[in-house]
Amino acid sequence: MTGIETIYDYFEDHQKAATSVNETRPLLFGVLCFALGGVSLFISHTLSQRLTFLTFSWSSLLLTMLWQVSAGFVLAAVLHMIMDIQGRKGSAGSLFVLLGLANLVWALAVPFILLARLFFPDKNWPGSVIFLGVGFLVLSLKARSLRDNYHVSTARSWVSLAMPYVALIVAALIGLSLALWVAILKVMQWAH
Amino acid sequence: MEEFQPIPPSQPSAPAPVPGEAPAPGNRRVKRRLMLALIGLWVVSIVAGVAVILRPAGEKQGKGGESGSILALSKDAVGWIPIHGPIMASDGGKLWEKGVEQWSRRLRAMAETQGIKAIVLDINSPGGSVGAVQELYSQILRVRKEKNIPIVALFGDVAASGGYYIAAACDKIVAHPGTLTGSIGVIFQVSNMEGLFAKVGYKSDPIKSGAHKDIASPARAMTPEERRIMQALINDAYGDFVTAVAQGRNLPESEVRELADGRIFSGNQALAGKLVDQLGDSQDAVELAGKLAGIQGKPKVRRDVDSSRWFAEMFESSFGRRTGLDSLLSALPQTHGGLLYMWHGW
Repeated sequence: MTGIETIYDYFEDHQKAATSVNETRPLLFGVLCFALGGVSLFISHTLSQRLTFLTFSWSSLLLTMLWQVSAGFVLAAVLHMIMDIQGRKGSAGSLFVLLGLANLVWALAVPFILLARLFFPDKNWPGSVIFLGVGFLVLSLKARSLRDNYHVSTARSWVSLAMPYVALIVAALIGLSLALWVAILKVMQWAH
Repeated sequence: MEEFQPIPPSQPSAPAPVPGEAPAPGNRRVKRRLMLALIGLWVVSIVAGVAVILRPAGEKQGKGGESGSILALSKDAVGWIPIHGPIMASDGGKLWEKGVEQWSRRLRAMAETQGIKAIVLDINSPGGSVGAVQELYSQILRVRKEKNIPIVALFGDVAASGGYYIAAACDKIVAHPGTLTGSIGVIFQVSNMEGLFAKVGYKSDPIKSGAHKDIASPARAMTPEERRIMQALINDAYGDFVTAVAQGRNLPESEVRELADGRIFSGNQALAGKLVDQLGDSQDAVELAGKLAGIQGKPKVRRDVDSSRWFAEMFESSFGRRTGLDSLLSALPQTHGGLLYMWHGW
């Protein structure tokens, strides 16, 4: 089965695609999917003027692709660990490829952003709606990948998928609170 | 009318695909074609997106310079770069340090930013070292020439000596009525500590490769010959300053020399002496920059923010307070050596 057919099956018959990926574990194909998802995300961010920390350049594009692939590896590893703790069996390699296939959906953002800029040139909200919509679709496909790879219920797949993101948010909040606390202490010391 | 043609018995109808079995060749072909079409559409959208992003600046503008064209990515804006403090080379050229390398880099980055049509340099500086000031002056001229964007200088509390030198490279200068500017000249401060050294029993005995190798040494008085050498050096750098002002302000050198005896001027006096173009505030400077760039209406301002420096300064200040280094450094007089385009009254 070629990569093109795998992509088709992922959207048309996801269980078949999961079985096929589990048999062949095409990791390089997964890397390519994450990289292409990164290209779409980078272009759509630039078009909607949401490229805050980077400028539009080849190096920034490569950095985004690298970031997407690395984040994919980390996410697959963390999710596999979470599922393993829950006693579920599945392949981390297959999960990586399936998550990469889910990431391909960012391709949808580019034409939508182009259309939004065409019909609402001075508005920012269409971009936000598109990113939220496509982002949710990507997340739901990731949850589905988790379900197909580890044979868990939809609810469990969503909870497991949310765990790393929630952990990240909690860690950021703790860091911010600590920084604020240190700043308050410093101001109090200075006042004394 | 076409006649009904029965299917010959030798051609059986295609069996329904069984899950797990290889799909029929026709089905595979349809899948491939569909996916190739979708991939083709994706490639087209990416190419279209990149084309929109990389369009030349002129094509993004509508009639009359307005940026209301279809798929316009950004409104035209005026970049704002603060140049505050002495203009010197930074210690290590690191990103978060303050110095001429960082200002030059930010100026170029701002000029290359999409949508930036003009730049305002918010100058609040008493000047700096000759090399650093001339570097920044040269970079401003380069950016103006290469990027073809107007640069307007806005003077804050003080834009004297080197602070004025860099402004001379800009298209226009806007000053507040009470801004302190001018101080066109060069200084090389030499201390003679011979008496102090004699009191503490210190005697310098340098071994030199040439007669003037220890010129401007604080351990002895300057000879008349050395004074002549230093004065020639000062005059040379002074000539550069006068030429820069004459060229930048489009004034005859003789007229500039009359104003260039090192005195400072208020904004009002500088306007009378044609050293600035208009009196005004930050809004006036932005509007003037926008007008020079052909931006219609009130221009959007894009400020140059260096978050890395903010963090570095926060930690430095915390370290300084903890170690008592801050109070020690503030007690010491701020001295800058070498040839300076600087006014020491600030």
